[in-house]
Amino acid sequence: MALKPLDIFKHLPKTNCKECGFPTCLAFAMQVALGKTELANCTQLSEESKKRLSQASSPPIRTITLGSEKSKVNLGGETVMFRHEKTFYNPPPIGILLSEGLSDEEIDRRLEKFCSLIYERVGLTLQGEVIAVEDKGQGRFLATVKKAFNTGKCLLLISPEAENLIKAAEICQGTKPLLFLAGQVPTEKLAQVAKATSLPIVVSSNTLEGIAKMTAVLSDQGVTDLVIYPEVNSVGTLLKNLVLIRRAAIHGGVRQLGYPVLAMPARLTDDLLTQTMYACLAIAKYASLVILSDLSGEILFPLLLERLNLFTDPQRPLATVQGLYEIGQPGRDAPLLVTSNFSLTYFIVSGEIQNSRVPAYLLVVDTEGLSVLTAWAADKLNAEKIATLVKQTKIEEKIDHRTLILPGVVAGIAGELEEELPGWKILLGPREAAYIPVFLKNWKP
Amino acid sequence: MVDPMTTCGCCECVAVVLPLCNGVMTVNRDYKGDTPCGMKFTTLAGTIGGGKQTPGFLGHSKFNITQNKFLAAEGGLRRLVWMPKMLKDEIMERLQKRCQEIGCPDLPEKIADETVGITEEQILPFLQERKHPALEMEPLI
Ligand code: SF4
Repeated sequence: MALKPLDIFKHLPKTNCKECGFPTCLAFAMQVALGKTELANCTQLSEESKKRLSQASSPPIRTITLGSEKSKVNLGGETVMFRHEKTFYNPPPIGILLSEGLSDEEIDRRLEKFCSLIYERVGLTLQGEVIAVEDKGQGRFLATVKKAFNTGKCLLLISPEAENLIKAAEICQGTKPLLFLAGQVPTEKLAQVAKATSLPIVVSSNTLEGIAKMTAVLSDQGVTDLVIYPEVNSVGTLLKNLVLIRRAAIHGGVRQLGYPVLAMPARLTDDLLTQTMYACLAIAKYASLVILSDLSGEILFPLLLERLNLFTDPQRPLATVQGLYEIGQPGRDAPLLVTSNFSLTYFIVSGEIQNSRVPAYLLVVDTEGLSVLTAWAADKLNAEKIATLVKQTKIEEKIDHRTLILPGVVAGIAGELEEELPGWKILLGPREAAYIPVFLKNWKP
Repeated sequence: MVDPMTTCGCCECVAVVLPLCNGVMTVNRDYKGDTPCGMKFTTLAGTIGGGKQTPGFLGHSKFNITQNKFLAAEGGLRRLVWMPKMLKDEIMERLQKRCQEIGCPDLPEKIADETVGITEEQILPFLQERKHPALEMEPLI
């Protein structure tokens, strides 16, 4: 579990020696807990405490990275059971399964379809990330791996033959696939393949005890890039296992189960819609990687949205990017307004400017997602910040006048802003966005 | 202080444990300077608001300081070892009354402020000299 400042503080020397750059040990502990500084910066920390702290602060679930620089995805790394406790970090990649049983045409069709499903929403690109290729001993495995590799997606390579897996891994130069040695595999064999390829590998068993035993042996041998796969034959057992694994890792401190979990609805049923329901459940309840047999738009899109909703950080208010926004086609005498970068504020203010039908410039200040008045109270919307942004965005080259319209509620900083921006006139705008249209209609440079 | 309540983030004051002094300090929003815990109000505000709960950090109101439930679990007002002068002056009347009630009429003079110091090391001798009750209380941490 994430350490609280006081838990960290207890292990610090409590001398307030300031070597770490913070005035007190408590302030330092606070920053460590927030992840803003490293424990190692305390020069006075004893080896003993260092060890205990880093053990306690090491994440309960390992993070495994797959893919290349471009297609990188992280699996696992979660620290809580529920999103509202902190946040979920790594959205489970979603993928399709290309089994050797399929015809070449079908494989091509699925690949092409999968790669074409890309959605742009709220400034984000949403898509499935993983292609699983399964060897069924028909000799076409490597050819299919090549095809899948050429798409640039992340890969999950499944084969009962260690040799085939190693060969397939060699095809995937410059990217990190996940290997899955299928069947009843002795742990020793897994270790060999993992070591030979230095790639993450799947540990599977039909009992959690079995998995825990294997991961314990592997981690003793230094093989720790593992993904676990509880083999199940019903969705009920899948859910039960997913929940048990997460609970054991987070609350039970069971390191042996502290790994990302693979879920394969593709293996539970052939019916695609039923698979979709299972996938939906697996995304909500703790799977780190979800494989269906095939995907189409009406199946993938809802899954992507579900995932997006669950994995956005609830601690961070939605924010717009700082900068100068043009609304309509502002000319050289268009009004210039300032607001905060809380998404809601931005949408309301820009919407009202549009309503006014007066083309305008809107300067959006990074207030860390706080609304105008809140940002002002937290000193995140101040004269200095606004002045800096005015200069950065070179607005002076775009407009002839020198009038800045400040939200009416922060009238208090108008004076300071005039000092920071010599030659500018600071005009107080309305206190509420609803009055912007009237205000702008009467505005003259 | 072990399981502090969160605030919406607009609380008037933030109380923080001061381990060295075995006590608690509090700082009001209007006080912009450094405090003995090594953090200013704005930094502290980030630890207690918006749903966050950080053991050892507690958001509260000015009025709360003189209520009987203030720091009840830690021994009440007797734990308070530092507060900005402006805050102390503001609530002085009620502070004196409450100190009478808990049987420490001279407590207000024992609570340090920024004129005594803004680090734990600076205020500790002051607390010792004036025999601040927090020093005798059971260890906070
Ligand atoms: S370096 Fe370590 S002992 Fe010194 S003040 Fe920082 S945390 Fe405390």
